[in-house]
Amino acid sequence: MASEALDLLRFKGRDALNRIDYQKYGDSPTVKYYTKWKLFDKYLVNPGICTSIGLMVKSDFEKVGIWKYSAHEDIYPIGKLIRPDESKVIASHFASLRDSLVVEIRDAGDTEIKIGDGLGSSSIHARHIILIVEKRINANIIIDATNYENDALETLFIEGYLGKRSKVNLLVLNSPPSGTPSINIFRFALDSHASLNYGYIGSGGLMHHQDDLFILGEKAKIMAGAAFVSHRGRKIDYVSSVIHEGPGGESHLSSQGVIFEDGYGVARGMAKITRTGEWSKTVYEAGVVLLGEGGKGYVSPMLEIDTGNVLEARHEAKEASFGQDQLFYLMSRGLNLEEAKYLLTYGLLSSKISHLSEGLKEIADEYIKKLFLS
Amino acid sequence: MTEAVKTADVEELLRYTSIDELYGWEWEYAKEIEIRGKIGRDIIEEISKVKKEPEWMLRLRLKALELFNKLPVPKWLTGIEEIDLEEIAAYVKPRAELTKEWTDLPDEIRKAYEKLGIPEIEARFLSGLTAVYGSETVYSKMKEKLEEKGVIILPMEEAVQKYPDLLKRYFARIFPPSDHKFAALHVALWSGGAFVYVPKGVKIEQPIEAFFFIGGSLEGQFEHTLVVADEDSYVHFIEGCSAPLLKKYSFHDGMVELYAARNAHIKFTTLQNWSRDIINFNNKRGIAKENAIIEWTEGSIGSKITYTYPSTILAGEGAKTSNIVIGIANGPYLKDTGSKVIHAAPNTASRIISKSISNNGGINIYRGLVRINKGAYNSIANVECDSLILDESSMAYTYPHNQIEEPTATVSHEAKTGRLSEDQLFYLSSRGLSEGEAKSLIVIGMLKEILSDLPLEFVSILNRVIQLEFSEVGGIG
Amino acid sequence: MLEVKNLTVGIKADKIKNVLYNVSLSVAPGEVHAIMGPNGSGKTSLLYSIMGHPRYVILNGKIFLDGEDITFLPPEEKSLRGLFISFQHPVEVEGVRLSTLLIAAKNKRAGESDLLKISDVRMIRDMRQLAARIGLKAEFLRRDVNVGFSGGERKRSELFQALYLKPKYMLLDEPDTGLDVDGVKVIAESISSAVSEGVGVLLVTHYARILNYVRPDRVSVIVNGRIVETGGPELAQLIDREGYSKYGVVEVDGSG
Repeated sequence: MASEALDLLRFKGRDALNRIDYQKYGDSPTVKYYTKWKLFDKYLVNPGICTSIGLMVKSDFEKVGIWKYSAHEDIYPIGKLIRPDESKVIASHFASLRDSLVVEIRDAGDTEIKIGDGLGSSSIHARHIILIVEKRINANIIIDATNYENDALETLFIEGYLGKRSKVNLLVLNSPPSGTPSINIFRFALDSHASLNYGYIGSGGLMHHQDDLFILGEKAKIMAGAAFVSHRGRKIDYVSSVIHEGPGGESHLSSQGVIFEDGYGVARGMAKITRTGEWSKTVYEAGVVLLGEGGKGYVSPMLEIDTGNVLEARHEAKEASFGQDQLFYLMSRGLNLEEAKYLLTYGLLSSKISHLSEGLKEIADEYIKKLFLS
Repeated sequence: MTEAVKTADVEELLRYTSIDELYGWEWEYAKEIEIRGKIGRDIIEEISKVKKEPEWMLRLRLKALELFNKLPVPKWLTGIEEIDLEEIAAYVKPRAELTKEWTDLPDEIRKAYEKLGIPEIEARFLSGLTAVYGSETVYSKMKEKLEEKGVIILPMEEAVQKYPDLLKRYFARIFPPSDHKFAALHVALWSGGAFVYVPKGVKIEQPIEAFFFIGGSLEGQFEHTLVVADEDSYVHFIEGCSAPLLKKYSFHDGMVELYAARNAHIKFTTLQNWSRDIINFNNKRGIAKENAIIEWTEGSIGSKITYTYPSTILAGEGAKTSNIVIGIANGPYLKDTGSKVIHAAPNTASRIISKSISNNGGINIYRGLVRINKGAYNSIANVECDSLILDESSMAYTYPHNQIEEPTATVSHEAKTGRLSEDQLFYLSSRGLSEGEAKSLIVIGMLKEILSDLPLEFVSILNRVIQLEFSEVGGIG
Repeated sequence: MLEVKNLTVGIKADKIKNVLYNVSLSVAPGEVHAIMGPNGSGKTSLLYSIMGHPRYVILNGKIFLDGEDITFLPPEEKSLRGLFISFQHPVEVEGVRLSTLLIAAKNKRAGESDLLKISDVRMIRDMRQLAARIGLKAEFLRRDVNVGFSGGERKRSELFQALYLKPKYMLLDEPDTGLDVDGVKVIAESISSAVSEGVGVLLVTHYARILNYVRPDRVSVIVNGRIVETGGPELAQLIDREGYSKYGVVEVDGSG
């Protein structure tokens, strides 16, 4: 079955690929781009070799109110929240897109929905998920993007729609391969009174991750926490943004990077309250910890407030190694330096997912422990 | 529940979130900088000739021109309107037709001040005119006493003639023209400004004051100020900037360079009240050597658009800097301000305080950079940004960048954007103040850090400017 | 004479909720009119409504100042005409020093167009002397309004402002809470001396304590937004002994 809409998106992607840049503006006065886009170059050419999608929804679908479609069925549009001509890598994603997983959640109850199972059993470049949560529905969703095996540009895009008064707990586990570049773009649109509890844990190779969380209806609420670990030679650019378009909303974003010897990590993003998003509240925290020589940590939490009618808007950034006093305290209790650092790091990272539902929190916790072993 | 058809609700959501709608929030004023026209070698040579400059300065100007033509327009800047180089060239061309003198202030402005009962002399300042820089009056008072101690205070042109060795060492070295396009443009076209040299161990108690104004004359637009403080010395330099209402917009691209040698302490205070037709681009940078201190304080009230980011490079162990930047955007104006600090040596410390007030559709942007280089052990940086938005149509944006490459460093950044609460306004109005008066008190309160450093006559005039700005009678210009 | 006639007031929330019903009372120059009532009865709402807080909507009734209708004048106008409100919980105004506020308020009253002008050194001297009399250290003049002030310091600061600005009528909301006995005495003496100079005082209080020091001419009791009884000073003593139970109000904890 062919989908005209999908063909058109592919065409647009191919068309834009050579025409547009990775990004329009530089990132900072001294660092031109926080993501090393040049390294993406050789992976962009000749996209489109894959033929099947290896995504899974692990659940007894319709019994628990989950509908699964393929993009070819044209039930829900693709490329609406993420546009093929936004940037070079996004164009590349769409150019090689063969299908998309479309999941509609109508009545999931407390069932945990697992998408991915590692995502990577076949040789796929582009992974695209449309996630629709109907109004007044509660859902616990895990996206497992940990088991890549390809030597290719890995892309994972999610377009998510949260209906009125829906409540979503979302946990993303992500560890793309260390040798090749990868890009994630997650966009969520929230209708009135919707609530999103979002946790992200990642450790990648050369990775650009972008969350764009749009609060469109009134009084919607977002709690988002991200923890990422950057080991030697890895480069992670974690960008997380929230845009308040609807009034009376609330958002709390908190990103934390832990950077080991010769690692590279960026925790950045923007909280924006537009003119229509009056009487909203937004708190943005971002931080990195350098745990070894040669590490580089960049933090840039931005704030754009377009109206004086704002309930609260603030951000904070902290970058430091662990304090000598803290370390000494733990060592005086019998831990060695490495153990003390481990304990502090673990505490720091797990604090970022404490808002998730119990089931997801357990899984997240296990995964954080695993990150240190790699 | 069984049919596989989407419900109306989600359809509605999907329709609502067309990508164009989502991306409709781009800044209304956002425009990329567009530069039209060209500045030729001939103009530069003419400027240099009129100033009877030595060969090295002409070469420096020409090199800067080359860089200007080569460098791209800074990509991180938005909001500036198009710049017509031919027009600028016409402005700066020596002996070119001068635009109107300040005595030709439009009647309606003059009348507004008369109505408020402000003496004429004050009114002149308010509309952006005051003592002309370059006239002896600015510094003659302290000149003799300081000359004995070896202090040099000269107009920049004179300094180029008299102290070529000193200038070759510092001029456009602290802020090289290769940094960005507008720095290059400045160095190619610089004219006017001051040179200050404070010898070893000399502490100048009284501040040195200079006023710059754009009166259609060439001096104001590309002035260059260089302050060199030798070991163990102290100097406080205050610059005031004003301009009358011009017939056309004008582009200002000034530069300030500070050099603080070991244990030296430089304070640099700017009070900017350009008129509303000036697009104001500043290039300000200082280098602090071992245990030296550089303090920047900047209050930005006037102008249509201001870009200013006083920066310090902490190049010696134990060097310190404190940068206070205050932006007031009252009306459809843009203040793109901020600060940069590069920690390039161990045990250095920096503090950035940014305060902004947006009112009446005004936009304030904070753009900051704190960079800790590898090896700058135990350095500490603190950034604080407070933005106050006084009504629903005004905006405040904060763009901090903290770049850390040294594990023993500590950087903290805090920002909050808030509004004046109904209860605060009620409290002040219950004491008899109108909304405008209440706002002006808050603004003056915010300027405290700057005011405490300024001579009294400055302070009282400034107080009046702000009260007028926020009064119901309407702002200036 | 400050007169409130048949005042019915609502508070702006999601929808308007009534807080005062048909309240009438008056206070003459040189008179103290105490308003007593249990917590949440509408005492503070009454003062806010008289002063014109934007959250309070006057649905019916009028307020007259010396015969003039001031019901819908903005607060600053009411202030300039001689009303002064001292707040029970004054808000912090960051960035504005107490001395700056008072100089501005004084200049406004003197018709001086430059709010910050110190035309006379006596302005500062008077301020310091007055502050000392109220037991407020001179350093508070240089601090931002109410920022970091303790409860007692706020009370002193509020009354200090009242005395400095010399209004015709003071609306005092619990001027003594958080003060020790000596503090209450100082505050009460200052109020009494203002009254003897002809200032009318509307004194809101939960407890009768301060009324032992400032003798009220009249006492009105307000319960659930309505004035339920008006009498002489003996009414305050009665409430001191028996609380508000006779009005059907049971207060579990007497904390103000």
